[in-house]
Amino acid sequence: MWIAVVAVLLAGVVALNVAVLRLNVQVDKLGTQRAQLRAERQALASQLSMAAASPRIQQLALKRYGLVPADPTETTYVRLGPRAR
Amino acid sequence: MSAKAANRRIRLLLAVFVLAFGIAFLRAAWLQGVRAASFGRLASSQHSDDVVVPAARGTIFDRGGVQLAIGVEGQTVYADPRRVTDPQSEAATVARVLRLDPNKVYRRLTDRTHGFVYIARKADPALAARLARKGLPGLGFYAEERRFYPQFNLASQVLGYAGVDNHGLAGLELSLDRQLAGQPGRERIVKDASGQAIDTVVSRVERDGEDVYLTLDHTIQANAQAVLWDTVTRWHAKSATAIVLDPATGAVRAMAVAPGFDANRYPEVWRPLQRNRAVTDTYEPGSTFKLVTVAGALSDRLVSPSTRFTLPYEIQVADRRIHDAEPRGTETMSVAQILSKSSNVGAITLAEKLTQHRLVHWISRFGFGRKTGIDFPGESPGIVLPEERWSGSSIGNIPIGQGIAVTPIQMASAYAAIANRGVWARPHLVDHVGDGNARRPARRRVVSRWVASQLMAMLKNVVAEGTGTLAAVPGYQVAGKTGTAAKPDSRGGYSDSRYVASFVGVVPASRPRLVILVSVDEPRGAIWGGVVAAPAFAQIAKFDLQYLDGGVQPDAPATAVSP
Repeated sequence: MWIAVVAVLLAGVVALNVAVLRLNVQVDKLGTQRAQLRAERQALASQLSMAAASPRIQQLALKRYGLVPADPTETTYVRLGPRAR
Repeated sequence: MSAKAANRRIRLLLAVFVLAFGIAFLRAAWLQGVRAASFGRLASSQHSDDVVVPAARGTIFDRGGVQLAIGVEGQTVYADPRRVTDPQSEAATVARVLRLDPNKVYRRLTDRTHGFVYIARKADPALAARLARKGLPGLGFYAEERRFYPQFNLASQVLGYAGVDNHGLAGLELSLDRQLAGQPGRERIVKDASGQAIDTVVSRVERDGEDVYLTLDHTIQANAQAVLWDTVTRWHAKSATAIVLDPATGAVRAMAVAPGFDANRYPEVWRPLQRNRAVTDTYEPGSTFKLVTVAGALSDRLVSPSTRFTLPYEIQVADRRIHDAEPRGTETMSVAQILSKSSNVGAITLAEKLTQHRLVHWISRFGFGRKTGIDFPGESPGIVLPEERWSGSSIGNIPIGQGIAVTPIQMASAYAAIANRGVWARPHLVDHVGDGNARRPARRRVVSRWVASQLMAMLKNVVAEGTGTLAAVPGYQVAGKTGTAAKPDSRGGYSDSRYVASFVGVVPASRPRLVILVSVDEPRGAIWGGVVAAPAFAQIAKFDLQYLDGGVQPDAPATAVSP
């Protein structure tokens, strides 16, 4: 009887260890994945910053659509009354 | 067999057993006692690795959240020369793929005294992947964070750069290194016989560096840099500096130095080009400094803007004769005209009335001769002679901005104090770090509100009808002052060919939003601040006023030129 109990307990311990090992392997893989995702995020952030650079946007606006900075003398400002606000 | 012979054999067998067990015991004692520690380490190294987990360096953002400095992945390529089979062909392949010098690579691959040599630190991951696909023996790869400046030469002198070990070496990268760097972690990875990780024991969790948010605006900065570069090119100048400052808060919106450089390629750049001259370098300001003399005379109630003086073309001060820039007869000028016409004789007359002692007081009150405390490393306090070292002629040159050296940031913040109704706010580049609150700059009153408003009115005249007419911005009132100063020469005098031309202005003058300083070092063809620096000021101001908050409302529509 006690031999069966010990055998079950031992099997349980082994199963638990196997489960822990599997989880550890998974944690390691997730760690690697995390590092890859972080690298991708950094690469995307640097691309975003390069794309958001004002001189580049100005150049593209001029080249593609012929847009130029507005002349302050041609800008009209509308003063809103308290009701309109 | 006799019993005696049998006993002998038994004893012999016993002796053999005793000897064998003795040897085994001694060996066990040797291995488990004397060599236990070293074998333990060896075994541990075979099935576990202690690794340092690097902390990600914080990102530097401009005030609008655009990344100016960021960490990206780099692949470090290393080699074990003892495992390299054909160094010559391998060196050629590595050098071709990674764009390196083949001779240098070959030297490293043939250095068999080491089991580990770097081939390239933080190489382009795409190139490293291409190299990895070739499966060359003896080569290894691992990822490291590499600092990258996605806007290349934007604000490079301000940002500085981080070195190959990801530590700040210059600029804000250096001064904010503690916050940006974070703290690396440490963990032990337990591996199975095939080398696969089966357990990770974290002994210290890494703490990533904090992000830093600057007061700089990348659009204003880019425009200032472009205007400066055009100015340097047009006037064949040695260099130029521009500062755009919010006078109410002391926030620096742009700090540009031309020529600039690409911070990603800092090791190849000549060191003097890397200096943020706006903070670290001094210059003799010339007439822009007359603001201090006039402010002192007004504050001490010795004169009012309309007080008139009869002024000859030149004046004798101790052993020197000092004259105005343009020949003229004796004229009567008001204090406002002294400033608008930038009369040297007038400024010296005011300084003599003020007295040397009080002038020294006002110079100090405006913050000259000591650091502004801007959050940038290596700030210069400028050079101001202590009163006891003034000579007889000092009262003839210091009131007109000669014989005194200031930094551009000191001069810009002095004008900002006048624009901010007499209250000086410490200039700063860092708005906040991480999730912290915005920093509150130190503030102090320099002149009274009344004196500040009188000075602003006088500075408006400089642009309306004085030496600074080219600084005018259609639609807006501009207040400012030109400066043209000869540079000191090596013989203790002043050069007659090398000048610094500058302009400091406030826009819109009725509700100041920006203080802009432009200084141009050694322009050729023209030397005057009103000719060289004032147009650059106008270009920067015109763009910024259109850009800021979707456009700053004009305060002088009448000055707008109809299209």
